[in-house]
Amino acid sequence: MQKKRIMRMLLAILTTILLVGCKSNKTKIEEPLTQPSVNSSSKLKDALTVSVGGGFYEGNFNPCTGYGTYGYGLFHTSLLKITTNVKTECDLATEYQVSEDGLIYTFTLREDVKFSDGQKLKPEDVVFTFKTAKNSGSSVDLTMLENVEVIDSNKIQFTLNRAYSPFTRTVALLGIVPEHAYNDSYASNPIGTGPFKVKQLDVGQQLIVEPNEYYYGTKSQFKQITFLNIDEETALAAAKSGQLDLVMVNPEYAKETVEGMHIETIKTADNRGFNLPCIPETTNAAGETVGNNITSDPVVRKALNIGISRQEIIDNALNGVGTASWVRFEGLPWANEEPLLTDGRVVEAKALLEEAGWVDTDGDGIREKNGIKCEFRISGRTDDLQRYNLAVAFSENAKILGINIIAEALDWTTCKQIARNVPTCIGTGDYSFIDVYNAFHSSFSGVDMVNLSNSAMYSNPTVDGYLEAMIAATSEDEAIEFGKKAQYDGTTGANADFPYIWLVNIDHTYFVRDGLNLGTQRIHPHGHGAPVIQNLSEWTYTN
Amino acid sequence: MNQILKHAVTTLLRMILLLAGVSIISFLLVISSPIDPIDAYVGAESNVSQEQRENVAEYWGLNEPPVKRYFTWLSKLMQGDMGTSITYQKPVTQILGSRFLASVTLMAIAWLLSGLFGFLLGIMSGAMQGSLFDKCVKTFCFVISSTPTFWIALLMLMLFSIRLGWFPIGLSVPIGKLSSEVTLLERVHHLILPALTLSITGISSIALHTRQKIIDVLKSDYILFAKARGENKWTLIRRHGLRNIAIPAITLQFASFSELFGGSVLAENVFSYPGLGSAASAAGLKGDVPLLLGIALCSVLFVFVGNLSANLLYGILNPQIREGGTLL
Repeated sequence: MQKKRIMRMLLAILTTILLVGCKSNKTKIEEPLTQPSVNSSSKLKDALTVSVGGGFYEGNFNPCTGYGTYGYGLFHTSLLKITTNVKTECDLATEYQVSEDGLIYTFTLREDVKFSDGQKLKPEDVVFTFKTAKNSGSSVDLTMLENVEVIDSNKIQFTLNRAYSPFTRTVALLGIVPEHAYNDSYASNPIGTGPFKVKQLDVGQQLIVEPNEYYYGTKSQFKQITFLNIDEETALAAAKSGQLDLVMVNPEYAKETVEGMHIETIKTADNRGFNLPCIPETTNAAGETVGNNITSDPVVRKALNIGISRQEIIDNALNGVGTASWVRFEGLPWANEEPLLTDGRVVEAKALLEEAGWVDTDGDGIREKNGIKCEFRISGRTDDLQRYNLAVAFSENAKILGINIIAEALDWTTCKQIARNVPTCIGTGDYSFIDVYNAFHSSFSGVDMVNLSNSAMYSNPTVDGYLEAMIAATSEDEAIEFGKKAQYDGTTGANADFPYIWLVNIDHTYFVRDGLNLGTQRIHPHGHGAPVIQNLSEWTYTN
Repeated sequence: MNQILKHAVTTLLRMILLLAGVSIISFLLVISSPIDPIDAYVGAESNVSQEQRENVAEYWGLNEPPVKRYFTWLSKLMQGDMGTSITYQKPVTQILGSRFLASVTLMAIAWLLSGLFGFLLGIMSGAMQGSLFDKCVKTFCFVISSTPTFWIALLMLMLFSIRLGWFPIGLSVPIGKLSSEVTLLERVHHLILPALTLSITGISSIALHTRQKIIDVLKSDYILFAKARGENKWTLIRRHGLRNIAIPAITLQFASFSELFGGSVLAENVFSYPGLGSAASAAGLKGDVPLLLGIALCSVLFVFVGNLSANLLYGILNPQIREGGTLL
């Protein structure tokens, strides 16, 4: 009997060891593997295999339904393109004019461009693209477009229904499709004017692309590039066995080492911060609570902005991977750094709060004013651990100021629904300066709105004036100038009123094969992974 | 004859009721999930204007009241149109068609493997009750049955693909190879690991049930009588045991279709295998109602057929059950 029991225990222990043994392989894989892999590109210089997250495997490569709207499409080009310093310049167009009233944009088309099927690009294709996109019920937003037509045989004239200076960005982010080859299966095998074409798509598995021989720009050095759909941990493991040339990794893995690869950290405009509702609590038409009695005090908003330490928050929440930011558009041309801010000014922040009547009278470490505790809830979306981590780190960091912030993890829909009462962690950063308008314009500050545009319910007539001037401008430079003034014009602006607290610009990290050069990367927009391929045709490999 | 017809009709009715029920519940679950399909489509924090978001909602019929949405879907289904997937922007029927074969191949192989191995392990460990081998099998089964599929899948991947390099790291075809050049052998090579993973989870219930049944059979009078005639244990089992043991095993095996389908969702995701399972999770994450409902209906049919087969086979294998004149 006794013997049996001992046997049983031994067996149980053995099984456990076996299982644990398997499990610890996960960490042991760090030793470089010497087994040669058939697909190892270190031997073949004309092919690359990369894993940069999702979005490639459904076969939705149709610009008219939203492909490439973030500026890293592979198969198409546009009338304008976004440069490495996030300005726009001509691409398929040779020049363009904007009318005095900002309603008519006229583009002259290049004559020498062919689609990847060898057919010539015609101005009719541009008209077709915009008309199709407008009626596609997709993420392509052409609500400002009234009409588009061909004039003078090679010019395209857009008529807008309102002056809209970011239209240049809209144009730059919409790839042109050929009218003659546009059909039901277009999205999975697009014909375009871009640097690449689809060689093969295995839906849900991999996308293989090859250079488009008719492309008029820099041609890729590689004969074939494969995008793999594997999850992040598998991708990292695969990289360690030498099967991949580039893998996106989350910052938490950035400390790992991979034989034959190095880590590249790329700056982004992918910003994280919290909205700080500027109006006191009230009830809206739907019976929801909007506004916030604590953050509506400008002193609290300022004390938080100057009193916390962003670097500490980044160290705690993001493993130190990220760049501290004070301005929503950090890194983009329309960011205004004025008035130059510094943080970690605890003494000053405390003095401000005391002066405004926020004093801790009962010694519990939380200030009060008129019997109201200086405490409020914030939320971080459940499907993005980074945001919850930021919320927690922010709340820890604010304790020293005597402000009690309660961080909660909530699902994204709830976060958005209650954002005008409970600040939520928002992420922004794209290549259109309409973002400035959406962030601060009072038309979005209504108590009955449920969306993230100006969820701080900030309203400042001076700022509104600048924003409207920005939208009405007839050149990008002028528009950007007004956008900057809306943030700070020397006396007032969003940067002085603190409707938000911005904490960090996320860094995008990748493991890259030694010898693979990613060229000059334009600052990445919101979203980790795919933006790295924005200049795929310029990548080079030298052994 | 009449009897059989009656059964067929009731079975069909049951199936239709089941399909209706599942579609309603799935629909309710999707629309009450915290995922906003418009967000999933245009990007949660994109600068798409409210006006355009409304255009999107209108285009995809997302702004209609739920009851109306459901009935629109239902009336289209009656005409054989399962709607368009917002995730893949293709008709749902097309997506299901292209992925069905991959999933069925995977599940069929896993199903056969788990049935075969489970049955054999069960017989052997039951016959050698109390031996070291029996204990090993039992422990193995308990551990496996309480282990989540995706974790086993990850372990298999880590061990066989990464560490040993015997199998590819996922996909159903080699990386970067044109489909015209992919050989059958390569496809099989890519199928082994996901199929093995999926089969492992099914083994334990079959093995444990078979083991118990063997133990019961070996204690029975007719076995004692046969023993007295001098037959040895394995002959006994072959001649007198197999049929009795097979009944629960086969029932279980057919009734395990639901676990099989559930497991395939997880295994396919880990191995990036392009079947219904990976489409199901993609649809769920995007709030893609038509696709999710399509897959739900597929899985219901699949499980229903499994259970029906189990019932019919039970009747065929065990005439006692048929005596009441009921097949089902």
